[in-house]
Amino acid sequence: MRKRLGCRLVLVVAAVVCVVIGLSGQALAAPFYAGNYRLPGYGVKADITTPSSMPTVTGGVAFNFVSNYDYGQYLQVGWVQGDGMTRAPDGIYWPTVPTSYEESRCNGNYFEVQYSAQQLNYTRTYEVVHIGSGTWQGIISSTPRYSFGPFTTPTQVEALTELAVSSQPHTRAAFTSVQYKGLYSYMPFNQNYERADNPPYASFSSYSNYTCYNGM
Amino acid sequence: MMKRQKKVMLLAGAVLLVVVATTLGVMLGAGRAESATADATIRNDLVSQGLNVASVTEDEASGTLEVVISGKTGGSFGDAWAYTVIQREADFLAQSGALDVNWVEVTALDEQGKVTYQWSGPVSPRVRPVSTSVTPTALDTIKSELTSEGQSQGVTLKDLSLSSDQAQGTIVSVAASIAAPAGEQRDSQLRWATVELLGKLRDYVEGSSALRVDVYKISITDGSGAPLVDYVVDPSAKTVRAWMAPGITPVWATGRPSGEPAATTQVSGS
Repeated sequence: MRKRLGCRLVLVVAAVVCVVIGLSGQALAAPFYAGNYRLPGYGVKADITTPSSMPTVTGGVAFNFVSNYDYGQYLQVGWVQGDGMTRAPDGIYWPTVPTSYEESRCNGNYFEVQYSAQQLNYTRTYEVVHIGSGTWQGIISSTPRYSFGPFTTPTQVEALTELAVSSQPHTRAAFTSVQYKGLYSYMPFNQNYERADNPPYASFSSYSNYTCYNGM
Repeated sequence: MMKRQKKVMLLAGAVLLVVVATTLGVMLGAGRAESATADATIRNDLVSQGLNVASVTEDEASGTLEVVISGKTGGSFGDAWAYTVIQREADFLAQSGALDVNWVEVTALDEQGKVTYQWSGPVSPRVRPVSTSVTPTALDTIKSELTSEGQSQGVTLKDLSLSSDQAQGTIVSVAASIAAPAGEQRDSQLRWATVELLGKLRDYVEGSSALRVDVYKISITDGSGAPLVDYVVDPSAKTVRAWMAPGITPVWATGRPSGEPAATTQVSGS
């Protein structure tokens, strides 16, 4: 009887250890988000501003972007800042200063490119928009960038801050004039899908104006 | 007298019309011929590099180079390389003046002529790299290190070579295989065989060696040789292109957009 109890205790402890390890592993690997969504849309755009002082990015990477999304297929543009220790898809470390980028996964094809640095306390308008036949285009400060398709259209659109690798990176991004595109024109985000995984935290003035931040 | 003047004016008008029409015809005809020649040149250029090109059109009005690729459903191993070559050729030919476009548009069709993938982007004129002779053993040291580290990760480094290509310059090619079935272990190995391996390779090449590499190309297969990932990096353009077999996700991507908000969202009043 004692032996059986002992065995059970060992099993319970082992199970608890497994769950704790599993959860901590998940917590380390899972991305963390803050921001808002709109379902559905033919496009999304937002003015995304960098903070006035340089964030301390440690233990991961912070992304601030707009994106379409359908079952893992997406096109996103925004600015990224890394810890100088996490490698970007090109093998080089993510830049340690806020830098514009574009990334897409579409029908078995992946693409990523980094553009110029976005200086502190500076706003760039980021947009991904349907341009016909399921093809969507990235646009940064009115300059057309790469386009990809076909994507399911219309689809979910989002304007988010993401902390990847860990929840540690400090960041602060003001999302203003967050808009989705209907069939013909842009309108402010108007749905309550507000999200803050705490961290990153979010301060919402409205569905279409908010600041996402962590540690600053 | 008046009648005569009218006749002369009419005649002069007719002559003028003929001259204008002829000039326009010659100009447009020459333009078409020139464009057709350019199209053929670019097409031959891409075909000679192994691309399965269905058509190439230089749309002078929109300043776009339109390339149609014959492929298959789900794409195939080599697509990432093909797209990288098209982008680079457009950039090189624009720099040399052989191509007068500022945009490139690529459409991939399957066997039934259905569009499977389409992308377009800006043409950034740049000089074609000079093909220089390379020392095949230049990467032996790092090859040995990566082979050993790959083994500890469960990745077999089948080849790591340096070559000089007449059209694309100096290319580092890596061939690796991963035997693990789909799951977390394979994802971890895929991440190592792409972004981590590439990082160590670039640290070595662009750091301690005196090499200048124009393209990095990684081909990953499974244990039976079936293609998993085709991964191409153009360091000067800062672009990464990859083709993934069905079921493969881009595990090398640090961030990713969020899925369905309804399932995960903490909704609050606003």
